[in-house]
Amino acid sequence: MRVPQSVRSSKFGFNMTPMIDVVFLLIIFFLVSSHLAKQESQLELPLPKADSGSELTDDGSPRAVVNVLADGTLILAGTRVTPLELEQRLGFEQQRIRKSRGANANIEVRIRGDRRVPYRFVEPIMLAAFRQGISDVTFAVYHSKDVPQ
Amino acid sequence: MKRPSVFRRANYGLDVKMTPMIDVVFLLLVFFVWTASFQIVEHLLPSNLMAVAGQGDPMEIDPEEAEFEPVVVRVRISDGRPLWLVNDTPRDSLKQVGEMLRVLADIKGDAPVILDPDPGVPLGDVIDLYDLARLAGFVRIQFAASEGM
Repeated sequence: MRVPQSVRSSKFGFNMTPMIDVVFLLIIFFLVSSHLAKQESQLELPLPKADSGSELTDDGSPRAVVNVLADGTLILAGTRVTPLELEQRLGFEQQRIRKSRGANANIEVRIRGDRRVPYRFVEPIMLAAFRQGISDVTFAVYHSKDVPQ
Repeated sequence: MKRPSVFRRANYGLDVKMTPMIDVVFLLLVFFVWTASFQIVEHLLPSNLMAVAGQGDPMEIDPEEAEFEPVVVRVRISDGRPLWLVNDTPRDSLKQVGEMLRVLADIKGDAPVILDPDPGVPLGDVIDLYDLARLAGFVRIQFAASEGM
C-alpha cells in the first residue's frame, strides 16, 4: 500500500504575519506622531467653564494661541513672552497676514488661560491685540458638562 | 521503526498559532489606547474688542448707540469672594447677576454690556460673568480696559 505523503508547505511560501506586524507598527507610529504633534501646541490647563461657547472649528484661519499659566506667565508658540514681546509678535504676525491675504485679513488671538489666573495678567493680552488692530479675540473654555464640578 | 502517523501531523497543522494573534491583539490595543483622546473638548467664547478709556469709563459711543445706556457690570474681590455690581447695584451671587441680566436683556437686548473686572479677579469668575451675559441674550459685550496697563 502506498503511504500518503504529508502535504508540506513550500519552503518559499509567503509569510504574511511579519508583514502585517510591520505595517501595523508603521500605521501606529504615524498616527501617534501626528496625534502628539497636534497635542504639543495645547498646554494642559484648567480652563474656565462656560455654557455659551461654540465648538472649535479648524478653518485654517491664522491664529495666535496665548497660554496664560496660573502664575501669569504668558506662553506663545511654546516660548515664554512678556506682554511687550507678545504685542510685538502679534503686530508682526498681523502685518505678515495682511501682506499675504489682503488688508482686511485678521488673525485670531485665542486666550487659553488658567481659570485661577488674575485678570490683570489677561488684560494686557487684550490690550496688545487691540493696539495691533486685532479685534478677534477668543477665550478657550470647557463646557460645564464636560468638567466635573 | 514506527512510522509517524500522517493524521497526527495533519492535526498538528491545524493548531491555532497564538503568537501572531497576540502580536496583533497587542498592536490593536496600543493603537486604540494611543489614538483615544482623553482630553476634554475645548469650546470658544468669541469677543470683539473695543477701546475704553480711563478706568472703566466708556468712550466714544456712536450716537446711534448712545440711546442705549450701557449695562456696566463690575466685579470686585471682597473678603476673598467676588462681589458683582450691576449698574452700581451690588449683587451677592452670580445667580442674582444672571437674573438681573436676563431682565435687562428682555428690555433692551441690543444695549452694550461692559464688563469691568478688578485686576485681582480670577479669569474663571470673569468668564462666568461673560458667559452669563451671553446666555442672557446680550450680543454686544465688551471688556473694560485701562490704557495705562
